[in-house]
Amino acid sequence: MQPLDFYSNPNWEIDGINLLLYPSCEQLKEFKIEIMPYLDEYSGNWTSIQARHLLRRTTFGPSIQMVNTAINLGLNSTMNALFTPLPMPAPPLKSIPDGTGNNQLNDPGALYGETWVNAAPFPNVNPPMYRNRILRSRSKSLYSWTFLQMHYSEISIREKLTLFWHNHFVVADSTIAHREYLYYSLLRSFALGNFRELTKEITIDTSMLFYLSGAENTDDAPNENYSRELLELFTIGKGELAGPGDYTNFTEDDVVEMAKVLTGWQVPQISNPNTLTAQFSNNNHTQGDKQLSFRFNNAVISENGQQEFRDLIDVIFQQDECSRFIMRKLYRWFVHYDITEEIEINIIEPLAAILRDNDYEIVPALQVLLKSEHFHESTACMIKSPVDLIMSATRGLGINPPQGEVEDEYNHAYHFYIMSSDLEQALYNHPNVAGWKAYYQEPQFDKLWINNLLLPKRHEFCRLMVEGGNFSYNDENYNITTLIPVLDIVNNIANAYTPNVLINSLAEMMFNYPITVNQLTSLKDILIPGLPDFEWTVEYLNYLSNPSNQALAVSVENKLKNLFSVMVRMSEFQIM
Amino acid sequence: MKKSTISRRDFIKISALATIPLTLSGFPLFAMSRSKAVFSDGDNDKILVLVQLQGGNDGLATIYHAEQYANLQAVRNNIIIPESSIINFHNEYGFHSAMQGMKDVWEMQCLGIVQNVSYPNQNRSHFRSTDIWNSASSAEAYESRGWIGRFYDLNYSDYPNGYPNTENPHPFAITMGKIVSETCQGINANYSLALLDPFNPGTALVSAGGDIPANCFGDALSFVNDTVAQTNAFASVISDAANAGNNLSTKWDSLETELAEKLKNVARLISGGLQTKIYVVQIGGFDTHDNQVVEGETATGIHDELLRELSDAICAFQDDLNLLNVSDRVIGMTYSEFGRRIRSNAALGTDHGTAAPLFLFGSCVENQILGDHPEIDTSVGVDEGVPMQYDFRDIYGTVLKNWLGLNETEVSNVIHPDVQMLPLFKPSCINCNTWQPQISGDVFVCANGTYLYTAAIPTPNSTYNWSVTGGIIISGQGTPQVEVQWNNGLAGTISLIQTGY
Repeated sequence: MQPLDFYSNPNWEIDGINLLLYPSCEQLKEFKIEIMPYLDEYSGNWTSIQARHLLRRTTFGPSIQMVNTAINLGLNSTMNALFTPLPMPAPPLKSIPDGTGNNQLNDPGALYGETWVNAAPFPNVNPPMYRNRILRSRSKSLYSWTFLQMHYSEISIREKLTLFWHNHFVVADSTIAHREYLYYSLLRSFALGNFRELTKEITIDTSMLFYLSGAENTDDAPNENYSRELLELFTIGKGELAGPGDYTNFTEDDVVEMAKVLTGWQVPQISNPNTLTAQFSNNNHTQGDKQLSFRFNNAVISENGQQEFRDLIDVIFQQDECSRFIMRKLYRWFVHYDITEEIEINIIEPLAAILRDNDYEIVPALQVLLKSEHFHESTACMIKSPVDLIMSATRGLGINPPQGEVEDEYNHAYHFYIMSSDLEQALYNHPNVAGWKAYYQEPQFDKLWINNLLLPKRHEFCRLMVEGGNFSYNDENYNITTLIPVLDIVNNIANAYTPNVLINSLAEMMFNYPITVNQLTSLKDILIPGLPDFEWTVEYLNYLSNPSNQALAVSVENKLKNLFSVMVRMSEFQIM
Repeated sequence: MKKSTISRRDFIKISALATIPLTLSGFPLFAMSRSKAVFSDGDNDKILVLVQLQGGNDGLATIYHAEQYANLQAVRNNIIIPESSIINFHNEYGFHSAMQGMKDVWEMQCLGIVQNVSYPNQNRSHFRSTDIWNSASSAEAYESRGWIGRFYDLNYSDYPNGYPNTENPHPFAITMGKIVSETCQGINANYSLALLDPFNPGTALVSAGGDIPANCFGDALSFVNDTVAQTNAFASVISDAANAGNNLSTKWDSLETELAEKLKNVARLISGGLQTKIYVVQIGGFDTHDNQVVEGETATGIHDELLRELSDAICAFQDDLNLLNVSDRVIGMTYSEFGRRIRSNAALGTDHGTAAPLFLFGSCVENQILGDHPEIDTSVGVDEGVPMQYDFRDIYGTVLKNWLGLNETEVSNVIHPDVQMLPLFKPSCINCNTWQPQISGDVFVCANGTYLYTAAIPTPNSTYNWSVTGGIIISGQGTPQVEVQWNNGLAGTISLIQTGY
């Protein structure tokens, strides 16, 4: 980005991009107009800095190996890897051992280590309390498994997009793990797919039908909960109030009429073998034409039974605003919360056009964004979401789920689910249908992840990953024993025997930008308090030449833990 | 209904000891406990507790009016609670059966109800309407600051730089939860801290700060650094107040709800001397599109539980404030983004509507029902909500002026220039918990003399039933003031039964 003195060169044009016009030259004197490179393909350096930036935003807490792979692949091949379709992951497993003792459970639908997703969703066992335990254990398995997918998916954008859709088509509060699993799997299978078609499928997802009262929406008593959110939050968004009941993009009457289109969808009883599939009841469906407002060009949705909602969604998506609405949301998810007029004109609008040109397939537009000069040259200043923070402090620093016992592997991941819930990003349990506030609430946006209460918790989580220990949530205690392998990480840093090299290398790994000399000095004082640099060199080289000497290893490891423990609690680590 | 009786006997004994005939004119039997002026011009020590009902509370299922019950039943037959279960509290007015706690606050003379509160052009989006209530903007305007944030911006717009300091050692505002409330968003930062456990507010590691570049990274970095500094700076004043504070009401003992826990902590912090002026507590779940009630048992279900949680917690809070002797410094106010439709839906629920009642509580709050009960037309359209009578910004403006001490110019800067002040406050505060009918008049009296006795706390809708022994009521029965002629016996009493409103 080259600052340009606009006043001295008023007719400046670059690559055909229009500069924003300012009303008077008086104002121009005040500004240094930056020529923003927008959606042109990035052609600058490809180093660990660019690779980390791309992977942090498109995956969760990229591992050191992932970063190295991406550096070697280059931008184009890394992008290809990110967007390569993956097979659906193997389903979640029963993670509590069989039996009737403590920390054991018998699930009639699955043995320990087998998947429960093919079992009856509502186990026919007594007493009901035991059935509830089974249901909870399945949900717990699902939540753990969701974090495991984030970990195992490597260089793939799919899990980050799946979480995006989870935050877009919010469903919460389900108590039936099968519904949650099918819902999340639907999002995953459409993660790199067609926005309009996903909207159709999610409309008759059984958990959505429950969550937004679609299953209660009948001809006798239309319920507009879903139709309102379909417009306001899922497809076109709410514009400014243009008149009574007129929100620019839609009207109150549209909400009412669309609710009628959506009448008749039901969810069979939980004991019914078909309970996981929505059913259409024509008797409960409002018959006849449904008249939309001038905001939809007075379109009429003709009677079409169980296909009618698909007709409706096609009509909604004829409005260009749908493409802008979702691109703004994707921009906030992947780049930055602040959508200025400049971004709207130069980023959102052209990307929205690409989205429409591709019939609402999201991948082409997303690829243009993530390959763009704008993405690669904008300042990295996103406050990490809890999931990003957790993954960056775990996978990003060499923590892997324990292998061998399913129970251990799932419990490990369950800790992260609990942690993210405690940090206000509870998966499968959003606070409300608008999703996490950090992605929409002006003016704070991602700063909402941090306050005087949440920051100490974030610090504590990161510290536990270095030092281990207990944490509690909702009166349950959890013990962290799988820790950041500080020695392994440092052993892979060339010339780590020099404290400056060691600390700067770690800073590069963890932060967006280099640390200052003052910070380096302070961190060195944590590593080797009150000692000259060569003392570290001596101790560390001594350990390297006697790696089997336990005493040497422990003393070096303790020094490194002190250092890591502070670095993961630096403000810089909260930002990506 | 409470009864107050005073006896002349004790006073006569005293006077006998003094060997003075009953000729002296006396002194008021009870000195009214006067609080510090509500409308103080100097340092204002008032506290406002905002109780946000998230999701849009169904006002028509909260407050009932006997005249409207039949019509209401016609349009929400599947969810209306049985008429017999309604708790009557004043004339034809009744509360939902879960709201005994709220009735108790009414009986304490400490509950203000404002009917039909909303704003012009009601927006039926949760998110937009919540933004409107939090920012006190109009339906057409977008305002990124909250109304409490603008209140503080008047004098502290440099916050958070340099806070806390000697003049402002305590947090300006506290949200009892994990996320700060948008009401407190100011120009530079949110004035509110988030707090779960007052004894353990949490501290953050201070690490060496790096350069703060003039870009969005610098902005994010200094935000985190500032949060670290303030977390630590405010942690000790909060935990000190928690340790110094107390809870005295036994009403907490039977409550295990989240809202009760939050308000209990607020009472403790106030009694512990925390100078925080604004507390925000939230209770979610009011978005009752379906299963608002249990089919066939409409007085049970989600809405019942929510209203019970709300009114029990407010009642215990008010009781605690009184026992802690801080009640004349605290008021509470509920708000919710909208009311719900007049007609129920077939899913035993109600959809997004328009206006709804708003509660104010506190010993300085006028005990009253302001506004009219909505008239229900049985042919009302399915989309209709309760029409607006009061604009919530007039309530905010009145609270800012008459409670938080702003002048009219400041109110107009914070809210808008045309705020209509509402009669929300008592001329002077009372102690809610021990509210009794009180009589003022002479106790030293002459035989056969005639004296005036007055109900010390008259209320607009009270009824008065006086009784006298050792004398007769000459005039004024049924009014706040009676004229009594005493006999020449040794003892006499005058009693008053004064109903609530």
